[in-house]
Amino acid sequence: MSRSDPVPIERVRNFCIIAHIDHGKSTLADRLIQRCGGVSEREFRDQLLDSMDLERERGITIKSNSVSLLHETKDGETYQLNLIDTPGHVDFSHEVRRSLMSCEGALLLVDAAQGVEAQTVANHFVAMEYDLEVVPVINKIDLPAADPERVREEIDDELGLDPFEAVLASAKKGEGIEEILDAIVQRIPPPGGDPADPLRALIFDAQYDTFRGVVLLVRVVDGEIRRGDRVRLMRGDTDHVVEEVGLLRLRREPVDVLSAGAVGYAICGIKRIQDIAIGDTVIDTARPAQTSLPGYREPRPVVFSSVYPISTDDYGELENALGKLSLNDPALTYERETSTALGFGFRCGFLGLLHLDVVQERLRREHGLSLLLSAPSVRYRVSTRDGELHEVENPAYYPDPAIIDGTEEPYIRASILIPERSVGPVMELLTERRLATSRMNFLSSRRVEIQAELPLAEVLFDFHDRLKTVTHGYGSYDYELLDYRSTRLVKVDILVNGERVDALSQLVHEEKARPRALGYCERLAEAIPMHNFKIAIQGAIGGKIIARTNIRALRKDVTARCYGGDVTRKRKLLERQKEGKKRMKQVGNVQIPQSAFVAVLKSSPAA
Amino acid sequence: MTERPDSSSLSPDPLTETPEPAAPGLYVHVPFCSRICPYCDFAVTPLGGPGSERLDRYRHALLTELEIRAAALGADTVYFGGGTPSLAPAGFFREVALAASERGLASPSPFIFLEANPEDLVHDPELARQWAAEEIWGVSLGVQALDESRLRFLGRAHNASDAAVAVSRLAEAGIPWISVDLIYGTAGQTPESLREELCAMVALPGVNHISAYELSIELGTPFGRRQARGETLTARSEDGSALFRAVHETLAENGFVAYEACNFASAPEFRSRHNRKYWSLVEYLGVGPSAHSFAPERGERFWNRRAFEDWEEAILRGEKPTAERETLRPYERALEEVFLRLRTTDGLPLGGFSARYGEAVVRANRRLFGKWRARGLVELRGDEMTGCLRPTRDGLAVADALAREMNLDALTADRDAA
Repeated sequence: MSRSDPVPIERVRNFCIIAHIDHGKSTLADRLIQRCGGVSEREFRDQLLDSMDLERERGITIKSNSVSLLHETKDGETYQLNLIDTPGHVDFSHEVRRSLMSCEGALLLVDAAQGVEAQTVANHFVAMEYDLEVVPVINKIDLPAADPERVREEIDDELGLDPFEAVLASAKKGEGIEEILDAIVQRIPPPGGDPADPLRALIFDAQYDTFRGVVLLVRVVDGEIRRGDRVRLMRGDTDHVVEEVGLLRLRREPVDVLSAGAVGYAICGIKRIQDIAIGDTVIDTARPAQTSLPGYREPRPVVFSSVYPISTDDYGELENALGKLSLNDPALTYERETSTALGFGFRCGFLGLLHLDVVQERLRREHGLSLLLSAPSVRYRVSTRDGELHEVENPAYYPDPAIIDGTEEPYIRASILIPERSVGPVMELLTERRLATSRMNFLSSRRVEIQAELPLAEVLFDFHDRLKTVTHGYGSYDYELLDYRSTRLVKVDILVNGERVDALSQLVHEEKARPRALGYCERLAEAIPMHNFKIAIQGAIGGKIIARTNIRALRKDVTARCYGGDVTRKRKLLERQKEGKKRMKQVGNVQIPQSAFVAVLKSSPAA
Repeated sequence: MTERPDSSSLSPDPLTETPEPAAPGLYVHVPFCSRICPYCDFAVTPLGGPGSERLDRYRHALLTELEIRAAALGADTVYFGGGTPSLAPAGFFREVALAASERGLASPSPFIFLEANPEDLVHDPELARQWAAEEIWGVSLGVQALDESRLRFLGRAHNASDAAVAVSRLAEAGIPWISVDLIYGTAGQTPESLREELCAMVALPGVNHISAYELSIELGTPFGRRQARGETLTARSEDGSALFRAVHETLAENGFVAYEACNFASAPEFRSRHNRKYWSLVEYLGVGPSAHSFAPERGERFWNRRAFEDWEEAILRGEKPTAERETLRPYERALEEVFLRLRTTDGLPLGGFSARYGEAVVRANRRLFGKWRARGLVELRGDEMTGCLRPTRDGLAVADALAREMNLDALTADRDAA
């Protein structure tokens, strides 16, 4: 059989790999691609699917890539294995869901040394929700610390899967790859769907091609799609003519038709990626299906931060860069904002801390921008006396407390997997983070799962780091958004010699106001150079001062000797210092260097 | 003197009423020391063993440099700095001054100053009288401390009584201007112990000028290396100014009035006739290795090769031993004028400043000057546009910060374009 001959639908398998970060997903994908000859040696690069530098560097997958592989079994049959790539982090959980919707099965990858982690559990539940056939793979068995037997036990106890169905593998060394391919063929069912039904195809991802425009990555659920068809994007309510359909080899490979069960691409003359919605359903205009597939959800940013260029000259470039990034990342939102201290910038919305971190890094690397980011915050709901409900994620728009009736903040359900001996410290950490309720499940191997409900805002600041610290590196967590609950919110302002520094205002829970304000004051005091007068740095709620530090007045600032030979050196030093001063932000009569904002605002990096 | 001058009001002080120097100066760098002090980063080489050969080469090259640089400068001060000029042989100063006069570089009878180490005056009881015979006007004595342990810490070769002997020999020989140097701020020094040393210093009969410098640790010196290793060499003071204040208060109480951030005189005529030229941007020529020069008419600063051999080599080829030169743009010139003049109680005359750099510059800083005045850092003599801005004692302490605060943006266009 030649490569371009269509593989009958009963020999097609659609699957994805789900795993905790760093459990070896991309390496396994690479091996599968290599084994199936989907790529020549020349084309092969390590971790092929993670094409962005940033993904490669961090070892995480942010944007999905998918590929069709041809696999010949021992009895001589050729199977088409469609590997749908999935992002590997909680921030992108909806993208994970969309990928899962396109599959019949999943390889659940577990690190042979690390064992089952919170995210593994979360991913497994989602896979179950979509009724996928799950094949557990215990990876990295070549590691000295590998303990496959313990991991089997965890798979049994924590995931409820048959531990003896688990395939042992080392993707790095290429061990167990045949067994994995056999398991995909034997255990994952072929796709269902009737080619005779009206067309319904799920857009699970999209790419942009400079010459062809938008390339839709689709899973055909019912019916058929072929070149020349007139199709409609249901949610977008736009009609298009199909220019080309095909399979996702390493390069696009055109075919005549994609039938129910197939995974491939469709090019429909769509010019801008903003004109489509990932998760939308493609139907035939001639024979329109009545119901859409349940794939679309408006990307809802949940974490917000203000982004300012260090150099005000870069504002235009920043706007440009955000525009470009948002083309491929509909979850990224941004709107203009002005700060007296920092000038022009943008209030940006992200899916989570990792998303924020990734966007920030891409702005820095791909666009060469130096940026200042405010502390991440969540979106609050504020109801006012006049009966209106406001969504506030920017302290600048926080209504006058006098007219506020009530406030609500988003809560999450965190699933935290830790060793039994860490229960005490972790509960202490959770209590400090305003834990609402918790439930404990004692699992195998002296491990405990804590299901905890707590405010999202409480995991935005160094929660991951603290969890790792108190569990000596063994703890992991995942979360899902739950609901909004009543809270007691205050707006904390930071004042420098009585002048409010707007970039440092923040909305926090009443209980956290004082420590947070004090932390800001102290970091600011360390970072502002002495002036020749005393500087008071205060934290305030409205007119009430809740924290205070001082910077002593500078009392001597004159070099000892200054004679004929010292003048030039001295002048050059002063010139440099004056230049540095220009880059400072003036608040009242105090010069605040950029470095001070960076020191204060620097949030702990996301997972 | 019992009356304590008030730092915020220097008004009736006769010191500030005497005219600024106008004639150019000549600086002669003598690059030899018998030993190198651990804090020093000047261009010096140790003069050990049979040193006279090197001294001869130096004398010869120096006289040749004067010849090469011959010009109608007419300096009325000739200042021998170092290094240790007191190591030079009899007749050297007079000879160089005369040669400079012959080449037009100095006036026929300039004021001659030299820097000296106390031990040289102790070892040679005739030295002071010899200098007097050479018509040396002033001697600046590197006393640095009167506390024995501090003297050892600073690597000095003399003790406190040597310092006293040296001063008395200068005074007895009739040297009119006797200045002593002090380095304060060494580890462990308190305002109280500093006051004691200062009182001992002003009590030395004949001293009419004091230069007091806070110890600064320079890279590349033995102190620099020791500090890099984590050693504490400087006094830790609560706000960095306690010692500075102690110096200014103690000396003022004893009749020595500050006329520059680090320099004090017991009467207006004892202010350094030579060093004041640096702060008021008067022309000066420097000869000898590493010596710096300033030619205000050309807006130029230039300096000599630093290493003795390099300097000598250029001269022997008949060339000026200039290492580098820079032409000051208005912004740089204005910045120099600001930071140099604000170190002195003469202050910054705004009329002249705006005549040179434009009224806009002064206008742009009027509010700032107002703030400085409100904080007691400067006083304004005259009106806002043409008066003179004079730093108070508190202002002198933060003179560099004032210079940084000045808005010279109106002058940066030419600099940025360059």
